[in-house]
Amino acid sequence: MDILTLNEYLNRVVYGFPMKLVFLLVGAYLVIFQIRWFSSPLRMMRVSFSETLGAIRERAYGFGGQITPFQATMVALSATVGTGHLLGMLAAVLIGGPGAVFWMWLGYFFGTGTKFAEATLAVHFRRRFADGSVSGGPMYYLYRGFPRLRFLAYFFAFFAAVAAFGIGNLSQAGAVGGALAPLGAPPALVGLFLALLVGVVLGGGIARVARFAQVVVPLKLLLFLVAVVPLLVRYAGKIPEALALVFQAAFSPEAALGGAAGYSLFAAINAGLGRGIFANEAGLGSAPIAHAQAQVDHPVRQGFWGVTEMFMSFLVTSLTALTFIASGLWRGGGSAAEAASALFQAHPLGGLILAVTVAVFALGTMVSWGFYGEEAAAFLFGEGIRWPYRLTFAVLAFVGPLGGLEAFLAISDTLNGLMAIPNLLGLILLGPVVARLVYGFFRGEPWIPPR
Amino acid sequence: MSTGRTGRLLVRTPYLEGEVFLQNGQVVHARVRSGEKVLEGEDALDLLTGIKRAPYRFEPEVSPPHTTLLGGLAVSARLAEAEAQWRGLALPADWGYVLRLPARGGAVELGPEALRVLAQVEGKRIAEVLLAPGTLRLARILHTLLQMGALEAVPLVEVPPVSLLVLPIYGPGSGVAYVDEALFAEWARAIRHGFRLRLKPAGVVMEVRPRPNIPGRLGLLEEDLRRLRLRRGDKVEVVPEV
Repeated sequence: MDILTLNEYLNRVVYGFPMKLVFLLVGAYLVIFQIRWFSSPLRMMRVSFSETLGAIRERAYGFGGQITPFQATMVALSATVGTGHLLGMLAAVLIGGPGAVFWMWLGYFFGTGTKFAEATLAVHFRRRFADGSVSGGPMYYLYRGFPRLRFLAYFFAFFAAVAAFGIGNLSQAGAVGGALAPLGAPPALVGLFLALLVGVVLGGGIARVARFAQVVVPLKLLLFLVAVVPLLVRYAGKIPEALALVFQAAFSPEAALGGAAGYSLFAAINAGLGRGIFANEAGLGSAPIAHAQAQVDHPVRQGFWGVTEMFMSFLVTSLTALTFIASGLWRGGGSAAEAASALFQAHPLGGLILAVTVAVFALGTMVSWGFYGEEAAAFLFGEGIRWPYRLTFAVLAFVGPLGGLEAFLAISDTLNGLMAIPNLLGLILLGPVVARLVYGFFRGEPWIPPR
Repeated sequence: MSTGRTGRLLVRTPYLEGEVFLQNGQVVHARVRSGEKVLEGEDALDLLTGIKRAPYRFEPEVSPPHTTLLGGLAVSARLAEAEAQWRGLALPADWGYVLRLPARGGAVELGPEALRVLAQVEGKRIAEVLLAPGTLRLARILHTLLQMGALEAVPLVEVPPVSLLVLPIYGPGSGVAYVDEALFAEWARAIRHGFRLRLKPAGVVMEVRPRPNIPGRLGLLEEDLRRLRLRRGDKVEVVPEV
C-alpha cells in the first residue's frame, strides 16, 4: 500500500460518517452531562450574552495580558469563517439537499459544547512563560491533563503543524489565487503579496495576528453582508418557503423533494453534519490555540466566547444556505463553484463580490492557521522553530496560487482530520474538569490554574 | 563642656511636637504643640508620658522660655503616677487615628462629662482631643467610650480613588466587591487596618476581597449588579475606607 492509498483510506475514515457521529456524540456528552446547558438554559443564555456581546464595549481592555478575549475570538473566527462557509455550504446543499441545513444546525448546536469545552480547557491548561507570553491549545491540555498519555499531545501538535501548511496555507492561497484570477491578477503576484503579508503579520507574534484578525473579521462579515443581503432581498419572498423546505427535507427528502431528485436521508445527514462540524472546526482543536491566548480571570469566560464564535459561524453558513435554497439554483446540480457563479450572477456587483469575499475569507484563514501551526511546532521543537516555521509558511503562501503539490495537500487534509482524534479523546476524558470549572464559575469561585 | 543636664528634649510625632526643658537636671518646663493649639506644664508632661514611641532629640544648653514645673521630686512622682495611669488605659498606640461614632448603633449609659466629650470628638484625631487641659481625664473618658463601643478609633485613610470596570461574578450572596490581589495588597499596606470599599457614584459601602487575575476590574456579584443597576464594563470609582 503506497502512501497516497493509505492517505486516501485514512481520509475516508477521518471525514467519514462514523467519525461525524463521534463528533456529534462528544458534543452531546459535553452539552448534556458536563456543561449542562439544559440545567438552567435561560441563565446560561443570559450569561453567555453578557460575557460576550455584553463585553464588546470593553474590548480594548484586557486583563493586563497579551490579547483580549475579543481579540482571541477574532483570531479563531478569522480561521473558522473561511471558504467552507460559502462554497462548502453550497456543496453541502447540492449533495444533501435543503434538509442538510437542519442536520448542520444540529451539528452546530452540539458543537457549542465542544467549542466551549475546548476554549475553557485551553485557558485552564495553558502555559505562562517568564516573558509574560502564553501558549495553549489541545497539545497543552493533552500534555498537562494526561501525564501518561503525552504521546497524544505530540500527535496532535504534529498533525496541526503539518496540516497548517496544507489546508491552512496552500489550499487557502490557492483559493485566493483562483478567486482573483478572473479579475486578471497574476498568480505569481498574488503569491508574492500573500507571502509578504503572512510573513509580516506572523512575524509580529500573537499581538499582530490579533490586530490583523480584529480588522479582517469585521471586513469578512461586511463583505459577506454586501454579498448576501442583495440576494436575500431579491429572494425575500421565498425565504419562508426555503425554511419550510429545510425542515420538510430533513427527515423525508424523497417526499419533500421528489424521489427523482436523488436526495436521500443519509445524504442529507452526512452532508449536513459535515458542514455542522467541519465548517466551525469544533472538535478539530484548532480554535482553542487562539482562545488560550485570551487574558481572562476564569477559563469559563473564554468558553462563552467559543460559543459566540460558533454563533457567528452559524449565521454565515445559515444565511448562505437559505439564500441558495431560496434562489432555487440548488435544483440545477453541478459543482459548488458553478452554483456560486450562478447565484452571484443575480448580484448587482456580479462575480466581483464573490471573488473578493472568497479572497478575504481565505486570507484571514491563512494568517490564523499560520499562528496555529507555529504554536504547534513550538510545542514540538521549542521556541527556536518559530522563525523557520514562519519563513516556510510564507514560502508556501507564495507557491499556493501557482498550483501543484496536490499530494501534499491531500495528506495535509487527512492530517487536519486526524487532529480531531486526540482532541476528542481529550475532551471526553477532561469533561469532568470542564464540569468542575463551570460549577466553580457559577459559585463565584476564583480560578486556580493547575500547577 | 555641657553636662547634658540643661537643655531641651524634643519629641516629634506626625501630629504632635513636644518639648521638655531641663535645668541643672530638673524638669522645669514642658510644652506640647499641634498646629495652633499649645499645652504647657503638668498637662503637657502627662500627655508626653502617654506617647508610646516617637523619635526624639536632645539639644543641650537650651534654656526654657519660662518655668511651668517646680522641678525636684514632685515632677518625678508626677511622671510615675501619669505613667501608671496610662498603663491602665487602652488607647490606640497611634494617636493619628481618627475618632468617630460607630456605624452600628447600640444603647450605652454615659455620664454628662462623657457625653460632652463624645459630642466634641467626632472626626478628630486622638492627639488633637488629648491636647487640652485635663489630658489624663480626657484619656480616661476616651478609653471608657472606646471600650463601651460608643466611639471607634480608625486610621485616617488618604488613598486616592481608583477607576475600575465592573466585572460580573456569578454566584450566590451579595455585598462583596472583589478587586485584584495586587490592588488589595497595595491598599492593605497603606491602610494597615481592616477596610471596606466605597463605590463612588452609588455611594454604597461593601466588603472587599482580593481575587486573582482581575487588574483594572471590580468584581461584583449578580445580585449587587441588579441592586446597583450596574452592567458589565461600567466604569466605577472606588475608594477604600476604614
